[in-house]
Amino acid sequence: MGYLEGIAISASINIVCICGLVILTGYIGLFSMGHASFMCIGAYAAAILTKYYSFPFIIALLIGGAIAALSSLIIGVPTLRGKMSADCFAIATLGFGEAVRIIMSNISHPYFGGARGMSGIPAYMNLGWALALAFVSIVLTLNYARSQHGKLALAIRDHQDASELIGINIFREKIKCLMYSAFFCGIGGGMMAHYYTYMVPNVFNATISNNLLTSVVLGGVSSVTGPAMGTAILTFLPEVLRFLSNWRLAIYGLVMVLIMRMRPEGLLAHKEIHQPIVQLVRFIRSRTVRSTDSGRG
Amino acid sequence: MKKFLAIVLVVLMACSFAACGNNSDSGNGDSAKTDGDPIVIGFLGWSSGPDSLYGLVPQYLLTDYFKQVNMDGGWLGRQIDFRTYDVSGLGGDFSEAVNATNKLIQAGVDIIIGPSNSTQSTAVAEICNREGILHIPSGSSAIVTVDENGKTRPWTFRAGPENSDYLINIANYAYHELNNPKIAVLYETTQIDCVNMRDTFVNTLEDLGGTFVGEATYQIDDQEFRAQLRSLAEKNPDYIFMPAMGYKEIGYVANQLKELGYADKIKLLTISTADNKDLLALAGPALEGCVFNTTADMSSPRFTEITKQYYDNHGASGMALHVDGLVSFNEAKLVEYAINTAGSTDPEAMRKALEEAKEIDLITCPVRGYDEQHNLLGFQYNVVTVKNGQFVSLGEYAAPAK
Amino acid sequence: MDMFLQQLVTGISIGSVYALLAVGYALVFSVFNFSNFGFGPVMMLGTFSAFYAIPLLHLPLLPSILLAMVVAGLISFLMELTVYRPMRKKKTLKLYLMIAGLGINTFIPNAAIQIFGGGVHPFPSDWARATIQLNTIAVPRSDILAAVLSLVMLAALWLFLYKTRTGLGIRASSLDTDTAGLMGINVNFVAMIVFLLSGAAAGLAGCFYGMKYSVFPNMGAIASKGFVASTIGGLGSLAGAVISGLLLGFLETMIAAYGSSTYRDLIAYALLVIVLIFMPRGILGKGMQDKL
Repeated sequence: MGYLEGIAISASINIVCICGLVILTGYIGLFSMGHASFMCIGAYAAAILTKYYSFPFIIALLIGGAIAALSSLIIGVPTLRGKMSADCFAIATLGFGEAVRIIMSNISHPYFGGARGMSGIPAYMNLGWALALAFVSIVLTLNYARSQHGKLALAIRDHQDASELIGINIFREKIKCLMYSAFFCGIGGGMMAHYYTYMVPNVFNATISNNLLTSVVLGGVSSVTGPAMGTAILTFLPEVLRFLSNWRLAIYGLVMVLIMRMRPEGLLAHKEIHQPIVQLVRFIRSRTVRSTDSGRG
Repeated sequence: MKKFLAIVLVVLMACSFAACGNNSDSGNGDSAKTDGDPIVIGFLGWSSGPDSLYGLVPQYLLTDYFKQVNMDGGWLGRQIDFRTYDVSGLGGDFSEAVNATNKLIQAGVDIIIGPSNSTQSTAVAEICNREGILHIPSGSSAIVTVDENGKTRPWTFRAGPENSDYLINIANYAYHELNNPKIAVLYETTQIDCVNMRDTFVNTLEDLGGTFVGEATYQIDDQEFRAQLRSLAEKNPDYIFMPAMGYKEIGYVANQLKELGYADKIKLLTISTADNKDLLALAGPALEGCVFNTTADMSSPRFTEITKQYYDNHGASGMALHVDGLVSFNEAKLVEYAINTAGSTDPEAMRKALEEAKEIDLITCPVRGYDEQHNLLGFQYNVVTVKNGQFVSLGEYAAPAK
Repeated sequence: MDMFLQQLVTGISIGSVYALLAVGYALVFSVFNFSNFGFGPVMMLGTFSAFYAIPLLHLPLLPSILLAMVVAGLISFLMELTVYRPMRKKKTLKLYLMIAGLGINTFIPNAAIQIFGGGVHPFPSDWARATIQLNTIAVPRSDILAAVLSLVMLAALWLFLYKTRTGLGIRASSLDTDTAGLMGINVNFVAMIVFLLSGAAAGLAGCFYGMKYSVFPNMGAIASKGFVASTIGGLGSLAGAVISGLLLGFLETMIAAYGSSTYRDLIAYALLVIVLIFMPRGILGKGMQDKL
């Protein structure tokens, strides 16, 4: 498999994971430091289904995502019901992430393999699948963000008390966003398992969760394509910086700081990549319509 | 509307590929290789992050070595293009190792050496065996050279002893030479290598009829072990066996045993990770009586030259020369043997050369070629203890045959 | 009983490091409402300054700890000056400040590995490493020093915050930074003091960490425990930070000793989450509305 192809697949996997987090962080304003755990759950579920039960790839992915979404209720229901602050929620997810990693490392069932992980997962993942899934995730998330659900989420983020007063069920909306984000992380995890064909629980550690969070924020809140672009950049950046040799990660951190310093709103806050083009098209269309109108008149 | 979105995304993807492609060594190197072209050797090492000393020290050694080889005219009249890649990643996952491997293969690499950690080596081995590229990792667990179906990976050859070999040796030493002491185990549960080493050790000890009194665990990056040590001490072990991946943990445990006042009763039993002068600085007095086995006696004249050169060139780096670094250095010797024996960099010829090797003089010791699982035969184990704050060799030890 | 007392000493000893780190987080949080994720590197650089000062300048232990606190304080302030203040001026969301902090957290330790090397070193003080034997319980001197200096530091901090005009300004800013600015409090001056103080706490914690364990470029990773403790303690509450720091150390030790060392983190986090469910604002948190 080619080098660029490999990075493109990694970037697509990260984009799928990000799509869920965009709603959780960018829209409803909760941030998570443990979403790698949902990737882990999705990855194991999907890999076990394809490896031992010969499920079709896409169905295994969807079931993996669904199991991840259900498991998010374990942490979501107790923490989101009260008025826990966003920071406390972050700590709770951090704990959940650690818990999943520790449990997965210590399951002795042969399907899971404990700390030794799973190998020999069928290599179903290729560039076509990766790009298609990333594309579908972005479109779905754009639609979700524009729908009633996305608007409610924004309302809760900006004015939680006011939105409660006008009768929004805050708990339900928050849980919905959390499950949505866990679902996509689960799918992303499944994709990862079928790309590397080998995985260990240690891969899904707190750093991965932080990278996911960083991508969302770097891309800009209240945007879907911004974080998707941010993720692509953050996936490619360490590879682009390879010429720096051992200073690579130091410079990577510095670039992150500089981006935040130059664009403290993120790359595309409250905007989408395609907006200028859509506006341009609308503009041209309105001009042509007007000119034909005037021609008629 | 949707169409535009699609177009924009595709354009964006294409742009980012192009941007990255310019920076990478594009072009397929395999097709047009002539005799005048340099030999491309890629090294994957853990060169940043908390355990950077396990990647940086081999990287320094290998870089110096290949520089010397090039000054002496290279191999087969060709210069060596030695490329080092950091694969530690941002969180210890193996995506970095996979990306670096793909990049090297695309750049027409002849041989890939490293890394030393089993999780990453396995991921790299999967790719190299798919692509038919010679891969020489150092040390680590069996899964690197043998896949999950028990089949030997044809393109992966180990450069150091397999972990279980090490562990059988030290377990036998403990049982036979330390007079069957009571042993407790303290190990890390989240890393493959640690769990495998613990299993091999405990199984060997139980087969021998040794006394295994209890175990406790820790997590990656832990620094506080007093709770576990105090609990283990209740079981009155003579030795605590610790298959640690980094010397830091061994130092902490030694210091904390001493703080708790157990240092006289309970000694540490560990592996080659401890063979590092920096550990003596970290926990010298507390290590008194600690026993471990290693593949090379660092004090032997065999290493005088290497040691002197390392400290002359890299003493300022603040990292001591360690045995794991020397084992990684073996990789260069294996590459040299494969290329010179094959007489070319034809992958199949080099693979054959290694498979049929009989005598290779490595950095750490001479070996007698590979067995059917691509493990090197003929490693000697040297048992070392700490006396008066110094490493003292107790001589070579070989486990009695079953 | 001996075993329990010994574990208690261990728990308090590690807890005091968490508590100091948590106080550093809480100081910044109380005024600026965000967690400074660049806190680990501050601690690491402060400790390295003492690590180099002792053999090179032949400084005794206490002055070198002071030096570490000063250096850490200055670095923390430098971070505020170059990264956080310009971002705050643009009224950015607090999440962005935290991500900038994560960037710092990647940048400085990795640069430090290239500069200082990746080795793990002992803190160059033999005095601190000796232990005192109380009956059957062993107490390392560094722990006693840690306890005493932490108390001194916290007392000084309390006096400063509650008995001086500057302290009053800081407390006013912590209620509402913008209004405090309108009332004539120099917010930039308050920021300087707060970052200097939180850096000093990190420097002190780093020295204890170095004495108890070791000095190495990635030692700042321990600061994440401080973050957990400061959040559980109630965001921005200093007393809460101290209590929950000690609690976290105590829980970790007791679970590892009497429960399962494998599932230690799992059980510790589960207990903390249960605390959060019953006290959603943290142990001593104020009922403030917090936004993203």
